[in-house]
Amino acid sequence: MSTLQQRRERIEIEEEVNIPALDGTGVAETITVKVPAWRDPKDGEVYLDGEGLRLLDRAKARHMGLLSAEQIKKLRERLGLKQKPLSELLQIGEKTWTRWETGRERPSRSINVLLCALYDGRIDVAYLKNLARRRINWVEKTEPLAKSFRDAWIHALQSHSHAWSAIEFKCFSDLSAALIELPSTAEQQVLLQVLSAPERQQDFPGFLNYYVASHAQAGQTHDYWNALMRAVEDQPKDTPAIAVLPKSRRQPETSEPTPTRRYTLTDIHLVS
Amino acid sequence: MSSDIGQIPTEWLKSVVAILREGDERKVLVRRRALKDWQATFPEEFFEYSLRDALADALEVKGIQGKRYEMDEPGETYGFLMRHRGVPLYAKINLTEPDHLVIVYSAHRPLHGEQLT
Repeated sequence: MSTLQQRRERIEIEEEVNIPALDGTGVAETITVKVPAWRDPKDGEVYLDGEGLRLLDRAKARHMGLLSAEQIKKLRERLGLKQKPLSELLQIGEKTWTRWETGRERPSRSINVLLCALYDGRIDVAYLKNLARRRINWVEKTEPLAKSFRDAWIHALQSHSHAWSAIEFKCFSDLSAALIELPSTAEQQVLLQVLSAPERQQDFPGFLNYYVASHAQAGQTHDYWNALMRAVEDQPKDTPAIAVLPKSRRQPETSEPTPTRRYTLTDIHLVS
Repeated sequence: MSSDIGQIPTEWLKSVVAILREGDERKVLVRRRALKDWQATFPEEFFEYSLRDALADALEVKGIQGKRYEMDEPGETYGFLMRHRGVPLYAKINLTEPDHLVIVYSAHRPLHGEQLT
């Protein structure tokens, strides 16, 4: 008895390929692609092998504007990077990049935009490395500051102090400065989440309430403000409420260095 | 329950998963009808490799049950139920002998409920 592999006949078939819409929920257009296939003369059934499937994928990717596996490999070689370091710069898994290069997987449409920018030379490796450096610096810079600040914050809460000592002042201003220097609002939000995360509430109880109260007039975007509000709602019930005194009740500036920041610090008091 | 239903042998599973994952163009055949059924069930799965990956994922589920079929084609054939993105599916695969070719005969919504019969 012959096997399918022995008796099969090579044919060419026309396959209808649906090109998905940008939002991925519907079909933008349907194209016809000619691909090689195998026909079983015994029952007329048609089978596609890896080559046929790959050609279907390639046609679809081309119509979606995605870089091909060959282009992705060429891009990496042109950048002079191995798969691992390039994956790290793009913050993807190394295996993901390998799969893109071998055509076993395709990048998403959004990451394809980034790859196209690299491919067309609109951004370069130096830019990616700079982004990575800022990411690393941010973590290194803020973690120790957050640790120092924790002690000052706890002391202020425990003493119910309206005015902070010079040490607390310094801790907080260092952290504020780090926050201000952070590369993007998104990263500020990340740090904020770190400080206000449920598991950190023991370290920074009420910090989020303070942050919200002191930034209420600061012209935040709608989305940013909503994110803050959601975080406030998610806080444990026993989180200290913290109010910011109105301007008229703020302490006058003193001879402390950088007096403008002192306003921020003396604004805090616990709501009993 | 049919006596042909039981745990799919580990050796068969290992061989089929390895071939599906390997991506060797010559070692996998997908029946056109199975591909059409898959595309109709998961139109959001843009690329054809998603079928092979989904089958491999399903066959890696510990203790997966299957029904053995005697086909004209030499080799061992199993039909099994799986889930992909929460959707139940029935698939039938043959690992041919002696060529060690994987033939995907079926990949569609179960026709007889979520039990092998």
